[in-house]
Amino acid sequence: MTVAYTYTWGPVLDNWDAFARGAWIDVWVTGISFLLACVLGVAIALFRRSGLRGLAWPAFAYVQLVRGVPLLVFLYWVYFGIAIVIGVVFTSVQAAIIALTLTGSAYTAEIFRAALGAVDRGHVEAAAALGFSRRDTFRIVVFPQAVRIAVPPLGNIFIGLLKGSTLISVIGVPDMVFQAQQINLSYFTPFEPFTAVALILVVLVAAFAALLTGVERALRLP
Amino acid sequence: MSVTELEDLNQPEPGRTSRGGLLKVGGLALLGTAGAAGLTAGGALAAPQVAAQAGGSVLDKWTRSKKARLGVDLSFPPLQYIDRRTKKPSGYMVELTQLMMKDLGVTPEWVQTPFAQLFAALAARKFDMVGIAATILPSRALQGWFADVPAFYESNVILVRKNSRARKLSDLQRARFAVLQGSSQQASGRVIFPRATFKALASESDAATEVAVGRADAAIFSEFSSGSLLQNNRNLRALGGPPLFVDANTYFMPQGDIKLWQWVSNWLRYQAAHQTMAGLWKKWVGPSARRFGLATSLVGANGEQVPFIR
Repeated sequence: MTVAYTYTWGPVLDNWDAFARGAWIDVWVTGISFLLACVLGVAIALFRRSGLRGLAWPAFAYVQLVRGVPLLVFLYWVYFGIAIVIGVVFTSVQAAIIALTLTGSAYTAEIFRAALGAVDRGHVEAAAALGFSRRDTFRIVVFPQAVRIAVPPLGNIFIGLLKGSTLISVIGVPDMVFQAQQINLSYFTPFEPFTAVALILVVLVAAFAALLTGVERALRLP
Repeated sequence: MSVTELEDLNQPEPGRTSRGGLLKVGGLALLGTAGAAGLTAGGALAAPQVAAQAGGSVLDKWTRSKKARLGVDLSFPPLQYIDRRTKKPSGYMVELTQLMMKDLGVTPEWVQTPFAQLFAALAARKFDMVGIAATILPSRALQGWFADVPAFYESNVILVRKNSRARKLSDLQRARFAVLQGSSQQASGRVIFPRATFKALASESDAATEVAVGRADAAIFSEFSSGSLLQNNRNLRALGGPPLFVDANTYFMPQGDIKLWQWVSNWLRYQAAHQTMAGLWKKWVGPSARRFGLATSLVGANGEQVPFIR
């Protein structure tokens, strides 16, 4: 039996600009989703720590539900499901951002909940002794410390979302996986375009890891 | 002819470690990446060929073992799909391939693989041949051999929403089209409608939903897919008229296996002369083409395209 595979790098090299545009889409879609996931995550974490059952239980249920649903399913629900069921038609980029935000928020919520819980109780008591209001105690004393604690795991979430964003091509977002699939289907060359995607992701992840290290260093207490 | 159980792609062949094979292929791909810049000058397509194994023709293997492992994507009714009643592969291409295997005295084993991964799986030797047809594209022919005779002709038609004002092609010059990613509909649609916008999606049903929910004005599909899509999306209709364009589809084989290529091409020529493909097409595609008024074509006695007069 003869099975031959001819490496065909031409289509990848000819379409490097499409790969670059696709990678940029993945980066900015991930960036926006991550920021929104952090905002949502803080809110959910505060609900869970509020001590009020009416807020804590829905927040708990949200985290459990969202963590259990795969990103791919969210993408289909938001893009097709909502349009079919209630007639709200999102663009593919909007749907991708919503799905990534929802997925990311369940994890960021848990990170912020743990980080808020890790702030020394004595600091809160000290703030109270100094006459800080509850709001100021949170804003000036607790939250900045919690953010410092949360930064390393949040970096992992960002990288997870960046890799997760490679799924958004299923709803037609022209990201780098979309470009790779396009070349694969046109030329029947699966290895070259997806190897290019892997290389781009490795470079992006390394760059963001370095950036994260810098942020951690900047936030480190003297 | 008995149809053996469907095999999962994850099942390794006896005596072969699939993970090891995958690592080898991955390793080669990574090595290839490192050497890519040096090997490929100015985007030229020439590259070193990796001959995995030179142990004779696939045809010899089949006739020796009386078993053929065929890669199929069974999600394209009525061409190839799982029959809900019998739970077995069914459809035009399945029946045609079964006839081919019967003539060889070989039992087919269907290895289900998504269309986009069929070629990768073939290169990774998950099966012996792709058991369904692919559109003959010059770009694809760089990587393998298409049989010399079409297995079927694919007539492409436009679907719009039932309440769409579009009645003729000129009404869609600036339309938003939804198409299947990597399909000839995507490539040719852009040429036919240069001022229109195109959105490529992962599956045909996704592209149909895109039109149904109003995100796209129209979609281009093959006539055989259009039948089931129209049946499942009652708010869609065919634009009507002659096909937008027609593509030839046939078996795609590994490069270099001239014995297999010659036999398959010869077999198809014989069946074309005997009207086998035409008869099967009328059986599998004819009813929905008639029901929804879709243009379609048959494989003629010399392998030529013959419009199907309903």
